[in-house]
Amino acid sequence: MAKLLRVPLEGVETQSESQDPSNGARVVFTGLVRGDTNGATTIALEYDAYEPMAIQAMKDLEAEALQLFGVKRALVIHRLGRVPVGQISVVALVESGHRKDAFAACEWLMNEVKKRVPIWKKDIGPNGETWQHPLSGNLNPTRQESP
Amino acid sequence: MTQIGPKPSGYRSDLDTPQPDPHQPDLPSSPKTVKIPREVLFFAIAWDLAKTRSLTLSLDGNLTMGQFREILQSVLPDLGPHLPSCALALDGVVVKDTDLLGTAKAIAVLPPVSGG
Repeated sequence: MAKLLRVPLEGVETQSESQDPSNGARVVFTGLVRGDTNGATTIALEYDAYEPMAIQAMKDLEAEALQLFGVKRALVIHRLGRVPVGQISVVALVESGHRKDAFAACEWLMNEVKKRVPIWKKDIGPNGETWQHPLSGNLNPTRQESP
Repeated sequence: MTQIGPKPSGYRSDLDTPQPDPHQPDLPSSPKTVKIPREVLFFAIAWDLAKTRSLTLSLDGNLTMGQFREILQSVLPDLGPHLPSCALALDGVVVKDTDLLGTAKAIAVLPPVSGG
């Protein structure tokens, strides 16, 4: 189940025994805070979120991953607040019968998290703080045109 | 919550005393024709530029989201240059500029996302 946490994700259990004996693969992506952004030094990233909408978007993505790739389990956990360089910012986990589907679903899951989940990061460096807002990150309307 | 001015047409701050509109016929109240308080939420750079996490505006449900953008720009001019790149969500659902505000209680101003 999707989670937003304000505590370090280093203790998140991703190596536990699978609860489904039909699973033969588990792929875990762990996103880390990198020490530079476009050549500039980063000290930490500060994550902001519209939490109720972000949780719903993450749950929707987990459900879509199961449907699109036929995998057995999908999970996204994202950290919020200030995250120092080197610490974990996001975890995406997928379990499936075979590794090919798990790798594909995990990559898709992370790509969609970056496009569809209302989470933002502010780069904190020695010379100031800057919100990162990529042009490709605009959320698309999902509601139909009003009659 | 923050109450700020000035007051362009189309909305009323909560501090105002409700006044009957002399141009409107005396019809039964409808959620789409009565100005009701809406919580406007700001995130990321919109939060910084608005200098508040949220504010309350009394807005008519017949406003389109495009008209809401214009009102927001007049209330928060610093936010103006960034508004075109922001999505708007009503009660957690991203909507188009042609959609009506309707009975939504929360309007979120969402800059391009950058999670991960």
